[in-house]
Amino acid sequence: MLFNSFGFLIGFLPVTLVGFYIVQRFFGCEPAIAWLVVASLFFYGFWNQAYLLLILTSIGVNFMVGMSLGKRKNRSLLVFGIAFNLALLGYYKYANFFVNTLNALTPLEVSFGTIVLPLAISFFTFQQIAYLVDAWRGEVREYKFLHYSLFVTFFPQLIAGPIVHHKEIIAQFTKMKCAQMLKSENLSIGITLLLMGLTKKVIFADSLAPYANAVFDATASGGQPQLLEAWAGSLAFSLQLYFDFSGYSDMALGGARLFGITLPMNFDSPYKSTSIVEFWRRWHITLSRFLRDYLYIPLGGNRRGRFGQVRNVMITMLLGGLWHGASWTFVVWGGLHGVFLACNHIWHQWFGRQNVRKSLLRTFTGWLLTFTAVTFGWVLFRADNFASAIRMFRAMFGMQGVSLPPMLRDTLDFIPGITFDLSSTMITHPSLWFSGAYWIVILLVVALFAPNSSEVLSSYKPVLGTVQPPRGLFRWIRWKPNVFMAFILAVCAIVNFGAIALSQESEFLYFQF
Amino acid sequence: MHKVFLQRLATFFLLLLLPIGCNLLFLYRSGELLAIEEIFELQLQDSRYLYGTALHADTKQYKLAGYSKVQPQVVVLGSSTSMQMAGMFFRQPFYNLGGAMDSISDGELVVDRMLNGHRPNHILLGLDFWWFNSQFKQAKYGLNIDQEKARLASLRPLLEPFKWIRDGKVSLKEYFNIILSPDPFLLGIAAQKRQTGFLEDGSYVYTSTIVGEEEGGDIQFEGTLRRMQEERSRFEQGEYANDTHISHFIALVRRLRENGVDVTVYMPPLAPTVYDELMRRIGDYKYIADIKDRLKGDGIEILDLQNPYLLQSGACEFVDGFHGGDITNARVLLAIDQWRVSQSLPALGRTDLLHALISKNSGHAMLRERTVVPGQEVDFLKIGCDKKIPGE
Repeated sequence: MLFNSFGFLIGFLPVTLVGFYIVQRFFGCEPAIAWLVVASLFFYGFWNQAYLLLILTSIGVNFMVGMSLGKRKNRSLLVFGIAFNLALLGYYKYANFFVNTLNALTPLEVSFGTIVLPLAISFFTFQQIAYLVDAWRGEVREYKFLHYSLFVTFFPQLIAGPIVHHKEIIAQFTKMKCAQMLKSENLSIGITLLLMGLTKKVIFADSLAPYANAVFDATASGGQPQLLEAWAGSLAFSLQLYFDFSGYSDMALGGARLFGITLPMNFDSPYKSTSIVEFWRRWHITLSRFLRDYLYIPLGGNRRGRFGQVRNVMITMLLGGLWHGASWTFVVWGGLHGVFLACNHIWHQWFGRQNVRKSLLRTFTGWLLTFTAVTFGWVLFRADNFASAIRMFRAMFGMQGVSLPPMLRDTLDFIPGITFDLSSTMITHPSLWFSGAYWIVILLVVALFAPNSSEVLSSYKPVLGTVQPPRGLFRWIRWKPNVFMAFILAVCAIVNFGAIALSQESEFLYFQF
Repeated sequence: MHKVFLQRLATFFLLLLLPIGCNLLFLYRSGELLAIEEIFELQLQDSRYLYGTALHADTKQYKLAGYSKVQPQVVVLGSSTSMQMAGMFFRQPFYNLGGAMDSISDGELVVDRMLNGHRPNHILLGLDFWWFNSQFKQAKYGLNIDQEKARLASLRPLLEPFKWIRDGKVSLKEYFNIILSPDPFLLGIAAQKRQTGFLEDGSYVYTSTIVGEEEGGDIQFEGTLRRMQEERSRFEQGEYANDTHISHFIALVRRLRENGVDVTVYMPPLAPTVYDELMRRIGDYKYIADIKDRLKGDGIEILDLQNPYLLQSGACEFVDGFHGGDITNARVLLAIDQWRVSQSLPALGRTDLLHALISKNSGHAMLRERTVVPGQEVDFLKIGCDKKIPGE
């Protein structure tokens, strides 16, 4: 059940919400939490009932191991718990990847057959590994099984994050007061976030998808994109992924808030970053946090000298890349970001301490470098294989020529010396290409200058932690529960519902992880 | 404060939902909101389903999806002038890709898809002479394919039904009839309202005009003749065929042949009145002869079936000035087969059936066997056609 489907929006979500309020009113908080667990399991099982057993087993085993670790610090038990989680993830997500690699490198012909990747396994595995490690460190209080189950299965964050930390979520269940949960403020903030997220996904991201797909699909089937096409395609994908993930994150925040639960921020206008380190502090924040706390720092972080830090960054990012997908393109994408991060750290160590004034030029150069690096990285992220990615990279460097669409050629006919090859070599349709251009420009401006949804709602604590109100040109964009905002949101709802009804369902890109 | 906000939000939402929701319901009930794959699933389950959209510019997308699904051995490829060739005419699995190739650049896209997926054994390529005219605006390469865009999320359809009502294209009675009791076998507004659209073999049926439910066809072929007089809408004049179009067309046919596909290129017939007028003005349309000469020079022989007298197809068998009806197309296939046999190529049509259909339905534009709703053909062109079926 997708967040952008009618099944979810006018079926599952209202029923779960009404049920939650009724159960809470008549039976109290704990039964309401039980109701949410059942609803969340229904949500998960709706995709594939067979994997309900998998998630329930995972919850049961991890809870028991965690409780035992909380009582007795036992390294073997911790290793067992982590191995159990990684074995599940390894089998379902990576078995065929490793087998295919092995078969490619050796004369062996091993086969596991088709393994369907259980939804959300990458997310709930990481959440539970963090729980086990914290239990072993003695940082876990004794949780109720019901609360733990909801921590793992809570449907707004189950499928594509944020990767919530047990401390920040279970604490809310424990302290939950019935009266607080029933507040109309939660409903108005929740609905607002849901609609903002839905708009980003349905209107923005899905409108960009055809332009990105046209270039990447043509390249995958052997096409040779040229300079402008390749840049248009990669920029369209960069923005599609941005609004897709940002939209999903907002919907997760909104969905949780309807039930009185506040989730951590997962997305903080990452394309505004002026360095790659800053980018990873803003993009998929909860994944970066997990990788930092449970991989990078245990590996030694930056405490092992410059070489040690680079090594640790590379290991963390290579594994982070692999987490995104069982393919070498994802590993190399992670490695590429590792190199970017290492360069950023070294640059900072060499030049960061110098008393250089923060100028506009310096900020712009930092942003341009960061955005360009990230856009190049997304090519690996989106390409089906290395051959396609290399064709895209070559094109982005102009090594496959430059061509203008006939429409533009006709306009530029008067300029002497135009020597581009202007025959019918465009692999994508020029009118598609042109209509995509305005989407790219408009949405790039939105991504770079507009405040994000957390900033817009900053007065109402939309996420855990502190959020700054909007600044700069758009500082006047602040959400208030007034008649104007009610009208805007009603229009948004109608537009989104209409767009969903008129188009075919599209998955969130991050669901595949 | 938040309670009032929620109340206002709900009020605005409901106020906006009422008209927009009605439109959505209207589109949903008509079948316009079905995905192409869903439409095709239905059509494959039951041949009575007819798809005629008034909302999506998705003919090419629909046709390519149908082609991939059917995986035919014989294909008719061309523009709307080839859309009447029906599956029942053929001996082998067939799909009509008429409407998928409105220009040579469209054809290149279709051929790309074919060569990357299922390849048919035989293609009957219906060539429209205007593709080669430099004046023909749609023939610019890469400017009119748009199939990827055809079903992009767009909000225009939410308001479109209001526009149709305002313009008188849909009456309020029809609007509510479609909401309350749509015909389940008619998918899309054009199918619901006019019973026009595509059948599962990709062929097209015109119903409402032919059975006289709707006025406004090409009465006495005046519309087509006016186009010729005004030198517009496919009938622009020209002396020579455009070099680029010729070279692209040659490359397209060669690519198919090099990949083992048997290609027969033919020129679909014109209605007698229109053909006569074209012959009278042939000096203004020299490029048509130029097309034939230049293609022949490159080894592509065109079977010229423009002359309806050679096919013995009368004016009453045409839908309009340049769209032959079902019987005309049956005659076209017989002529193609006759030519193929003379070239030692196998015939593709079910000869006996074609002769039987022609003899029974001569003088008609629509085959009874292909109608989706009951209705008697009338003299919709107002040229004095007798539309009685012999023996009825």
